[in-house]
Amino acid sequence: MIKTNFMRLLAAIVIVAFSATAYAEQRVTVYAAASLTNAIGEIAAQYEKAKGVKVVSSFAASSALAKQIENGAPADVFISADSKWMNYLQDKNKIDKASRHDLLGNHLVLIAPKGSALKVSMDKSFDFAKAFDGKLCTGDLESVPAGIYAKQSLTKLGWWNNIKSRIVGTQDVRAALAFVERGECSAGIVYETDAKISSKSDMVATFPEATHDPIVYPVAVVSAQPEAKDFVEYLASPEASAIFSKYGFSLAGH
Amino acid sequence: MEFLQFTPDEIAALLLSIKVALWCTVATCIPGVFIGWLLARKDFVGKSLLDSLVHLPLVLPPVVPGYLLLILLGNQGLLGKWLHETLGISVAFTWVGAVIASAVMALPLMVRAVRLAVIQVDSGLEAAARTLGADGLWVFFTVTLPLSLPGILTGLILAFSRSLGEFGATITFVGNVEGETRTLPLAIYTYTQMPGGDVQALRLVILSIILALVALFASELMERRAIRLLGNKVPYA
Amino acid sequence: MPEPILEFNVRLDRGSFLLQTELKLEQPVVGLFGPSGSGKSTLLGILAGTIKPDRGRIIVNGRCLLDTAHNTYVPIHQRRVGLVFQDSKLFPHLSVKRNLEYGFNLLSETDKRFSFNHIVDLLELQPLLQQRPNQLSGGEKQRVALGRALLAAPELLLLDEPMASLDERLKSQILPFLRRVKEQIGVPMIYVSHSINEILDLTQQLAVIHNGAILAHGDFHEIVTTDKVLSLANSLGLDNVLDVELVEKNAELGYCVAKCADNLLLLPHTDAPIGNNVSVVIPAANIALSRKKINGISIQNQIPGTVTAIRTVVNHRALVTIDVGSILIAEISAKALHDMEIKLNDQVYCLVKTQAIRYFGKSD
Repeated sequence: MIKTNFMRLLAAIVIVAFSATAYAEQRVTVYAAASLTNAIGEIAAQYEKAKGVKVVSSFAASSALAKQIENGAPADVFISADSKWMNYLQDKNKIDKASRHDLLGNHLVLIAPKGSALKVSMDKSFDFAKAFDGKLCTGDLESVPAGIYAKQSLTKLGWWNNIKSRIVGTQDVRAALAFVERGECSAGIVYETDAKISSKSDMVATFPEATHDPIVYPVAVVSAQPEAKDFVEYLASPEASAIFSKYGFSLAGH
Repeated sequence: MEFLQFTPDEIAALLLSIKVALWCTVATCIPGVFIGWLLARKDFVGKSLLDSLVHLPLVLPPVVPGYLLLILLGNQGLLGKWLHETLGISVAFTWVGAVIASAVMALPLMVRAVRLAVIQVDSGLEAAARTLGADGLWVFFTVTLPLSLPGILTGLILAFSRSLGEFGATITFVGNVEGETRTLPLAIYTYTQMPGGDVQALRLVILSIILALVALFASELMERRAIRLLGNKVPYA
Repeated sequence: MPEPILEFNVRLDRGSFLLQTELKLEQPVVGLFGPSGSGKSTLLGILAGTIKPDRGRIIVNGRCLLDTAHNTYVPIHQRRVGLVFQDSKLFPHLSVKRNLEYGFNLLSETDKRFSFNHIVDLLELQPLLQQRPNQLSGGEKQRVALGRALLAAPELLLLDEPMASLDERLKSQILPFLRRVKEQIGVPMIYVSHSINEILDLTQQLAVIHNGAILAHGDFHEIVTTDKVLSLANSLGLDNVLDVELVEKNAELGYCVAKCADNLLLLPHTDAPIGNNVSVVIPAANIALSRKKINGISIQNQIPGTVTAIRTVVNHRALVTIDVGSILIAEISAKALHDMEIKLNDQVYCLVKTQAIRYFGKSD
């Protein structure tokens, strides 16, 4: 009967339209810098298996995440790629100050599409701008931590003025990586940990640590959920540390 | 009053938006009129296919055409690679690419408006013109075009406005490069993602609304003018 | 033998309608007459080039416009065949002047046949030049359309029921202009109409089309008596048309007297002055026949004549052709024909009520 079929269809539509996403009993929401996508992904899987608590993660530029948390996003834990954005939230009393500590360190590197002949020596006398044609991709220079570090290094090395018109700022460091992998950019500045997992790009050189602020990844509890504290503690565990090291992150002391 | 102080970045985004929108309108004008006329007046093999292809950007999520453009015209794209290596032309991360993205999204609007306008022109008038000795092209320029002008103007305004609001395809194809592809919508998005960027975002939102109202108002004026020129009668068949 | 002005042979099969016509025209002004749906407009479209036939051949003034057998197809804009439409089709966005100039400006100086002012004067379009089509009356629009077509120097002018959308008053206004064009311009014309009156006002030469085929063509008085045409007299709406001369008028009693050959006719009153030639219409069904003059009857017109043809048609009607000086066709019942034993060469009287007679261009 057409009528009953129609009613069935209508019922199905209503159910879909009004369906709520299923919430697990226990979950912890982690907002983390884009460069942590793979590492945290793996750690989260382990945590779920070990503790039976579901981990929901959101990866983006630390600036974007900080903005979202400021506006009340339901994060339980926040891991930033620099101190600046953690300070920002701390000033706004959005984090549990007592729980904040530096978790990881990283290095800043120059990459190029796989097979590129680009050679760079990291000193002021090197004419960086002339070393390659085309665009240089990195995170947005004003907000994304990778971009902020990149600008610092380029400025310290005296290369900034000649290269700044050819820089493409992306919304997070992984987007910059993707552009370099696709060959849309002739070079990119990303973290060493990103270069390591990329099979379609070559790591050309490492930026000396003296050319930029120390790269630290602070972590803090955002919400009052007990699972949040638990997860943050787990991040310091041997299992988690092993995973971080595997990906090339250095471990900060507590 | 301090609120009304536009920063250089914001002014740059505004000017870039207008520049891209103007070029987008220019770019869609001729193909839009031609395809609109073709779909209105001619029958041919593959007409439905052309119709569907042209309308795709209207119904697809904007990131899809944006991504397709990237595959096609990016520096490593099917066509873009050749352009880049042989002719040294690169549209990735440039305002030209932003124009292309806008044009692709605006073309269906232009085609629809033109098609509607041409269909409403009495084809008997075109036949009469031919019997008087005018060939196809002359008939088009002296009869069809003037009589479908209000509709064409509508299409142009729609294309302009669509470009002002273009986001998804632009950011996917040419990214969000300050000064080069960061049009108003992209600038607003950037500011909303930036802690402390709310004031700037709000300023640009208000600016966008004003721009849209100006465009709509201008389109009203132009349409009325055009109809008056036709003798206050829309030439329905 | 002079070359025919127009010669064609076309076929168009539209499934529900088949047009198969063939014609050789030598007269410069010809009417194309037929009921609605007979294919008149389609035929004009084929001649002008706006409609493509399945098969055919069209030659105008010795110039081949279409020959499907040899793949010749002259496009519309090169045919020099002008078309005046029923609804004028003036360009609404152009002034009258620009409308008139449209085809004119596309001609080289040598191709132009008439000067702009000549046509404007002929059709009295001067006061309208700066106006827009939407400001004109129906009759004015048609005059402009006519002028526009003429200025494009056509070798053949087709008029597709140009007066169909005009009321009687406007029609009588346009007619003089059409006559002027016919007499002074010298462009071959085909005038299409479903009203025989309209055509006969302009020309006695006509072709009759019905169901997509041309039944006959030639002088009206000759072809109207051919079998094919007569058998369709009803659906064709043929009436008798007589040219008469007014000799007397009486406004008080409301009648006129006119002379037709040797006979006097009593007609309804008209404003036309005495001495004028007018055309009157007498429907065939309004003519009764008698063997002799009848007294004591209200019918004032009893015209003597000789029976020259008798045809029995469908629905038990008979059409009797009588020579009264001019040709009259009377429609009587087959029974009457039988009972009266009417034969060829019989002398009969045609009885016509004055009220049944009407003037050309006037409705009842």
